[in-house]
Amino acid sequence: MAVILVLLGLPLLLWYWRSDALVHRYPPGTKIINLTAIAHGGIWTREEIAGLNYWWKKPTRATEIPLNEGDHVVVRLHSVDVLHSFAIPLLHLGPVDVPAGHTVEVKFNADRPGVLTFLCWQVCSPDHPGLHGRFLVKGGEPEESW
Amino acid sequence: MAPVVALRGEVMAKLTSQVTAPVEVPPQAWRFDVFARWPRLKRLVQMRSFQFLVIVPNLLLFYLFLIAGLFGTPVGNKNIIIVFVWILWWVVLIALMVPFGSRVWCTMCPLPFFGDWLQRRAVVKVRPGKSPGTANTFFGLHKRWPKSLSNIWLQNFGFLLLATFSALLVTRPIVSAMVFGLLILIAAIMALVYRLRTFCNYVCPISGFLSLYSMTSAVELRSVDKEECLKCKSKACIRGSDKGWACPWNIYMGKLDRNNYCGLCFECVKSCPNDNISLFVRPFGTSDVVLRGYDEVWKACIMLVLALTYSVMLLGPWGRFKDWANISEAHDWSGFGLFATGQALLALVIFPGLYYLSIRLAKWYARADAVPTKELFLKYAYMLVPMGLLAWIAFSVPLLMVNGSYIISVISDPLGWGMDLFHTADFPWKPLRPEWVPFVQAPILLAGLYFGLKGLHKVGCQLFPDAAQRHRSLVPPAVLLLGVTAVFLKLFVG
Amino acid sequence: MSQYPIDARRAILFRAIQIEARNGGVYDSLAQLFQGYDDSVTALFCEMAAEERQHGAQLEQRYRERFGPVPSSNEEPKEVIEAPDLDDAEALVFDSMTIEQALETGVRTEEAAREFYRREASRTSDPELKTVYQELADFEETHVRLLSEKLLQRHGAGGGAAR
Repeated sequence: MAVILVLLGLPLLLWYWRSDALVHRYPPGTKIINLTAIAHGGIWTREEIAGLNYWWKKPTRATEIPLNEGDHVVVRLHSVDVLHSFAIPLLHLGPVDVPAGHTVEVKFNADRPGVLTFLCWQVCSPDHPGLHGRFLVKGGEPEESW
Repeated sequence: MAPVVALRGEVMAKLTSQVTAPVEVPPQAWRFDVFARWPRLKRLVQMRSFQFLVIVPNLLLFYLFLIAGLFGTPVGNKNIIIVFVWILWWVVLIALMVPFGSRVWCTMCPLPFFGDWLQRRAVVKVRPGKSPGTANTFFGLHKRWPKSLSNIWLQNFGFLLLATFSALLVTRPIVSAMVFGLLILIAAIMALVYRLRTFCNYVCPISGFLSLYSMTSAVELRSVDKEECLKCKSKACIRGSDKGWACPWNIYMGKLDRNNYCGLCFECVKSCPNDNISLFVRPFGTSDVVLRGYDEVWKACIMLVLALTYSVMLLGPWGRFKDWANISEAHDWSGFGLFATGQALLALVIFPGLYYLSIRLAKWYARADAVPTKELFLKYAYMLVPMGLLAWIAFSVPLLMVNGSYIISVISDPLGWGMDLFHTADFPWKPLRPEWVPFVQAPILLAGLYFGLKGLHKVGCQLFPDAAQRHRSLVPPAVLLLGVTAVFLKLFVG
Repeated sequence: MSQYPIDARRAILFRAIQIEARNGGVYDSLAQLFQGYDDSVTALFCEMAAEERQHGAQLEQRYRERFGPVPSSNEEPKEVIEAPDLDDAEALVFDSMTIEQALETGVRTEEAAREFYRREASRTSDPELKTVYQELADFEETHVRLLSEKLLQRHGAGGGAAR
């Protein structure tokens, strides 16, 4: 019975950590965005990339991520293959290294409406130029763009 | 009771040898009875819950590994399945468990757990009764494994197949998870169809090489007094009883003289009605020296060759070989084909051929026409066993030295999700004294050479009473062994 | 007049009865062991077990004729003569046993017993003890002949395989 309890309990515990405990590490109202960099194809994606799907899934590229003006944002960056980096030039944020298998956090406040381009600053693969996307902060006309 | 009825020891020994034909057992130098010295240890293994207590922690760990392999990061050095299985467990298994504990891994292995559970419908208790060949109640179809497959050839080819994809197996969490998940599933299904631990005896790839290298081990489980076994009516060690399950490995303790197929489950210690089974410590390397079939000889050849190819592929500086093996990313199919074919040829044909040549030369040089070639081929192959084990240790220990620091970081973040359970998730990669690696490998290899030659000599003494003939017969295989050592030394030390 | 007390002769016969009973049990265990491997081997061991029990019954009859009721005893005989056994610890891992091997096991076992009783018969100077031992040796001789004939028949029909 104890064995069965642990066999059922372990995935539940992990799921709880992922979905609930993690959220409580940040102030209420924080917008948590998971971004994973994949060298092959030069993709930033918001999808979960794990052992099960890394080899055959074609993840959706995160080209535009909507935010609201005033959001406190935590971006949890992952790399599933090689060393990447992350930067938001307009905010003078980064570049921060995102080593393979590590999770790196960057935080910023979306104070004004506009477009914030993020990109990989480290030449990681032949598809490196594809590793970019945009945060679209809603509220008024866009003041700046890349 | 009348004294005329009591038999003297030498009469009993003579009659015993007439009644039974014991397999050749070279006299042992010394043996230390562990259970006699520490009776508490015996009581521990006699507890019905003993196996459950040692298997379940491993089962839960493996469960975590499977979850990590499927749902954790695909980056190998940040995923617990790769770091713990292929760095920590592998090194502990080959460098500590096998030489000092024989098949003690099988005592705690979680792979057959579900199979045993389904077959016995019990985790701890025993079910006395009657199933084919046993005095216990088992569930399932009780089929006998086909006789043609009742050897370790399947394990030989299985391990070779895994080795062909080893670059993926030991670096990709999903591949490891799939392989172990598949093994657990196969073990469970086989337990419902076939008798006892057929999976472990004939299919499990880990069991294959454990069976070979456990021959060198410094421990053995044996009957204390063979005459008690002769007199025993119930043969409960192999048939089972109300105190213990029938031997899952189908071993009869009364004649057991080598470690190969004893999985150290200790059921026989529980079921023996005469309290006649004990654990012994013995000299390393030269106690069990009998290989019985071509399957075992080929196992020795395959494992030695794989130690070489693994070293070249995983530790060597040749990127081309790594790319050939790394088929899922390099996509060099012709290179992979070359690698796979070359490895298989070397393991199955070329090296066994060289060994056979050395045996033919040994026969010719020693003028040993009276000794059949087959007998010499089988018996002298033992020299490859300690050599192979120590070559694997020489390959594996630096793995831990160079990559062991990953263990510290992965403990805090087993799935690579960004956890930091013990505040060591950011522990950097720190190879431990990499400059010492050749100085660690060389003595290990030389130890392998020493024990290989020692075993060879011991077998030679059994075959050739004449010292001059014996020494001549030893020369060609010894030269082969020296050549193997030289190749490894060149590879490891330069 | 025997220089050995009657107890000695009684003890020898009783010991022989116990050995037959013990070996019947061993053959039963061996028979059960090979279930699912080779039915003919199982059948042969069952037959040998029955023979041992029959032997035991005959010896009990002689005991009753000479000494009265046979005492019951849970004590196992200490002797290992005529103790059938597997030749190989790994027999069931690789091969099972052929019927020829089973017959050879039986022949060896009975021969060992016969030789033991013959040797003891030649050593003793007591005529009654000698008679007892000779009878036991003759018992085992019939068993040896029976099993040897079966083995010869099998060899004539073709033998079994080893690993």
